[in-house]
Amino acid sequence: MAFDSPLLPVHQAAGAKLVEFAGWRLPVQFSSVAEEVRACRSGAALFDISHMGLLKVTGPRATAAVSGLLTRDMTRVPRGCGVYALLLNERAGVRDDLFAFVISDSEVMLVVNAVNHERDAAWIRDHLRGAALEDPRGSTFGIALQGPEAERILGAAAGGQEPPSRFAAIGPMRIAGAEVLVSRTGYTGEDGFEVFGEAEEAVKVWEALAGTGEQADDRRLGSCAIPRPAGLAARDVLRLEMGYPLWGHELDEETTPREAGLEWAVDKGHDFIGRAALESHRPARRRIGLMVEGRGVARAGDVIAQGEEPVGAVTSGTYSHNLDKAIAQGYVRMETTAAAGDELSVRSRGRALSAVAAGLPFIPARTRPSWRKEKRA
Amino acid sequence: MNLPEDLSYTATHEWMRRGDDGVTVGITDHAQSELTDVVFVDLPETGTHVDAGDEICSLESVKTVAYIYAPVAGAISAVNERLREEPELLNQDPYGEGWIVRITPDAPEKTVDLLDAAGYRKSIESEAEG
Repeated sequence: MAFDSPLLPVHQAAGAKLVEFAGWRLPVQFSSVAEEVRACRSGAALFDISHMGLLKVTGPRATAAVSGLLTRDMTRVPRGCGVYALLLNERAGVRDDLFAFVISDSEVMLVVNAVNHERDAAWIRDHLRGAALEDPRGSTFGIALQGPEAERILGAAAGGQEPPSRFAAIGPMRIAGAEVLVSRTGYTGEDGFEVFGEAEEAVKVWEALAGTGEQADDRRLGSCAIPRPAGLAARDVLRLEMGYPLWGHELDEETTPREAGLEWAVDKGHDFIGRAALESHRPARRRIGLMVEGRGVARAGDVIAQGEEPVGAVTSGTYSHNLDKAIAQGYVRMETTAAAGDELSVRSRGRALSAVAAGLPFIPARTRPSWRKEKRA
Repeated sequence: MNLPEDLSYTATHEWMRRGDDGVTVGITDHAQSELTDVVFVDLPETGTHVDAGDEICSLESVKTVAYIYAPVAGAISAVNERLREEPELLNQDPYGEGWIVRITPDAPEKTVDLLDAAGYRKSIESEAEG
C-alpha cells in the first residue's frame, strides 16, 4: 500500500521534486540540496517527516510492558521525556532504532522508521504483554523544524508558548489552532523540534511554521527567520554529517548494538528481548566514519581496503557541503586499526579513492542538553 | 520542464547542439533534477576519440553517480574546465554554462539515435510511468 503525506499538495505547489520512499511519496529536494543543508546549519529548515511511524503503547502498565522489548528501561524515564532506543531480535540484531516518549503514565509513543513501521507493529503486538498497541498509520503528520533559529520560529508560530526546553523532552502545544505534540528531537544534530499531530491539521501547522499561513502576518516575522523547506536528500546529508545510523544502511537484523557503536543506548541492569544474546556476543566488525580525500564519492556497497587487503564495506556515503568533502560510514573488521586519520581506501566502481578513518560525528552536535543531565544534576 | 526546441536529445539524457566549433554536449534539465546537486565532474582529456554511445565521463551527485555518453562519434576538442571548481553550473544552467564537452564529429557523421524535444519529452514520460 502506498501513502501520500498530508502535506503533498503543499510540496507540489512549491515545485518540490518527489520520490517514493518506504511506500510514501515524499519531497527529496525543494531547491538545491546544498542550500537546504546550509539553511539547516545556519538558520532553520523544515522537513516533512509524516512517513515516520507513530505507535502508541497504552494501558496502566504501558511503560513496564514496552520496556521488555526495548534496550531502554522506560520506567526510569519521567513523564514528558523520551530516549533513543533499539528494538532487538532474540539474536541481538537491530530490528529498528526509534525514539520512545513517555506521554503519560499510561502511554508510551514510539517514533519508528517508515520502512519498518508494519513489521515493528506486528512484532510489538506479538511480544507485548500487559498493554495494547495502537497504530494510527496514515492518519497523522510529522514536521521537523531544525536549526539554530528553530526555537524562535516555533515560539513565533505558537504565540509565545514555551516549547520543551531539554533535548528529547516532549509536550503538547497549540499551533495554528491545532493540538500537537512537540518533542525537542531531530535527525540533523542541530537544536530543533519534531511536531506530530492529526493529518487533517498538517497543512495549517506547516504553513504556520513556514511563515506562509494566514497567521503569518500576525507574527513578528521582522525579527524571525523563515525556515527553508528541505527534502530527504538534505536530511540524509545532515544525518551523515552527524554520524547517525540509518536503518537499512548502518543497521539491520544481522547487526548488533555493539558492532554499531550504540551500546550507550542499552540500559544497564535492564532485561529485554535480545539481552542474553547481546551479553554473549563477540562483535566481528565495527562501525567507522570515512572521509574521502580525492574527487569522488564513496557509496553503499563499496569495499573498504587497508593497503591491498579488503577490511570492510561502505554502508552509506554522500558529499558534505559543510566539510567540502565526501563522507561515508561503513563497517570494518574488528581487528582493523582504523583510528581517526589512518589511511584507508575505498574501491568504488573499478577505481580506488583515498580515504582516512574519521571519528563520528564529522561535525559536533549542537543539540540542547538532555533532560537526563538535568535529572543527575 | 525546460527542453529547448533547437537541441537534439538522447534517451540517456544528454543534449547536443551543433555549431561552427563542433557539437556541444551536456545533460538535460530533467537529468540534473533527477541527480540532485552535482558535486564532482570527472572530465575527459581533450583529443580523446569516442565512438557514438561511448562513455565520456562520470558525474557524482549527492545522491548517485551518472555516466555521460557521446551522442556523436569524434574527437573531444574542448572540456568545460569551470565544472572542476563549479560543478553546480550543471544544476543551475544545464543548457548554457553547464555544458560538458565539445566534440569534432567524424566524417561521415555517426550518432546514436537522436530525439527532438517532443520525442525526448515522450521518452521521459514513459520512463516515469514504467
